[in-house]
Amino acid sequence: MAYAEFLRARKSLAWHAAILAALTLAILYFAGDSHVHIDGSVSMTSGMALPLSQLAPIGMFFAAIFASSQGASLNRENATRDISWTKPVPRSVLALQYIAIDVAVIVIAFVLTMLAVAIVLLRAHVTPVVDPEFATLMILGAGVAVMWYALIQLLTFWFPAGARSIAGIIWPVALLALGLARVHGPLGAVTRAIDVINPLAYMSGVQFSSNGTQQQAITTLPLELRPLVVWLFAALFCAIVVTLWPKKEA
Amino acid sequence: MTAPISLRGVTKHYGSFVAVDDVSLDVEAGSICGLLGPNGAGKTTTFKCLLGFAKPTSGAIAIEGAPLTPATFESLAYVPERATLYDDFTIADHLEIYRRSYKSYEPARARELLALFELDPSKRAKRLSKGMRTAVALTLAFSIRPRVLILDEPSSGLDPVHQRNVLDLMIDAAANGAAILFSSHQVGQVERAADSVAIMKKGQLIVNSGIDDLKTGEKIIEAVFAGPAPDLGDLAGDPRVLRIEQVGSTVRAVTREGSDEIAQRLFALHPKSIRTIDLNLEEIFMNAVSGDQR
Repeated sequence: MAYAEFLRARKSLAWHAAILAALTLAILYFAGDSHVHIDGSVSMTSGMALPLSQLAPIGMFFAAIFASSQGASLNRENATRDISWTKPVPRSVLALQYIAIDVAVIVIAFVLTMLAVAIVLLRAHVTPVVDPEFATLMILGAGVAVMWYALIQLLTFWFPAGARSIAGIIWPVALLALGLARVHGPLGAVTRAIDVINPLAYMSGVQFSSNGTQQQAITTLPLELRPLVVWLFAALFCAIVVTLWPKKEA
Repeated sequence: MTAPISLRGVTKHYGSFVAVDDVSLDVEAGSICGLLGPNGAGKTTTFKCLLGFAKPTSGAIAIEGAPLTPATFESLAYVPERATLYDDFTIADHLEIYRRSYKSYEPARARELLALFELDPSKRAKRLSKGMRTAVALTLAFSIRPRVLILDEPSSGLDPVHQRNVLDLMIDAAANGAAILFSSHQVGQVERAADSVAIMKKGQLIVNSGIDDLKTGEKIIEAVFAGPAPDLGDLAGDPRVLRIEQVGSTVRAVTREGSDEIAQRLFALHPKSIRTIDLNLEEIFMNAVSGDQR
């Protein structure tokens, strides 16, 4: 077992849980129990019913931030290859073990975030409603975070260093790509093509704004297909990494 | 029977740069081979090829008679020049990683080694000095009682007491049948621990011999004359003479073989005194890498 990655993941998850707990307490403390405002598009008033699927982007966002911290695990391992590459374990198995641990903790981070949101809802006397899109959007939200992780893994595993910079810069690049996709003309077309591998694009258009209108989607994929596509992309990126990482030379 | 560590014609190119050039070397079970060479000689690249960190451009490597596979590492330990550790983890975490990774890991042995190197298992790696990091790497390496050991500067940063401990550990492991290849810049360590020495220069293996054979092979004949040294004739051209040094009235002839005959030729020039000096390993190393060797 990749015990080193397990130790790192456990530590990161503890930090994630602590930050969530602090944010939850802060929201509850400052918002009181009559009105809770979680982000720009989800506004809740005491007594209202809220479809749980609408909260998936919040879980995705926090889990994707968490995924950024886990995403360069194989790049980090380049610095300690004298230990990891001299274990009696094939490197591809080691890479798979690392990825399995990372994906597991990203999904746990997503679930923890949703639990924190649920606590805020219950405290605000908002009735959570399991709507028909709940399961789809939960799988999609976790999948986008995992695809985000896999993309960072793909972009960083080969380099000896610089992973943190890549994991950081990918955020503004992805957000910019979302924004430019709405532009008409060739720039918009190119950006929309790039957005095929932009995990955030698959979360676009899933949320209603506070006035009840649905946001415009970047991707033309129907919502039901998006979870499958993001998990397939994540699997593809991870497969490339698992294939190539063992071939690296020190 | 194939030696536990065997390199046959190993060459490694990085682009047009030849880092290792046709190196063949065997280290037998129960023996210690010291790998010497100036910086950039190709020692670390040779280790990388041995461990599968780099693919040789040509040549063959066998560990215990077979090509390197992940299973090989169950009995092969490596200590790099700069001990690689997980900085955020404690020494105890590192031992746990080893316990979970190696069937051959022996907790009792690890505890012995921790005590030997005076290491506190609760300390995080980032708080360790260079010498302590090396000591942790050595503890991990010897805790699996490896049959093959590859050590790159294994006493780097250690104090003299622990340097001696490392040599004792190596000698003990070899006595129990391990094959050990280690590099060092301290020729004295090689002289004390190794029974054979390999010297690399510019990627090539220029010396590969038992230490005793080397020492008995190379000698210095030193002749001191009453006045200025006489004309030495064609002595410098004698193939048995590696080098002639002449300072004032003293002539030193470095020989690889036939030292008695060379001494007789110098004696025939009527020196005031003449003596034969055995070369130590450091002088042999300096001769080998200075470029004067013929």
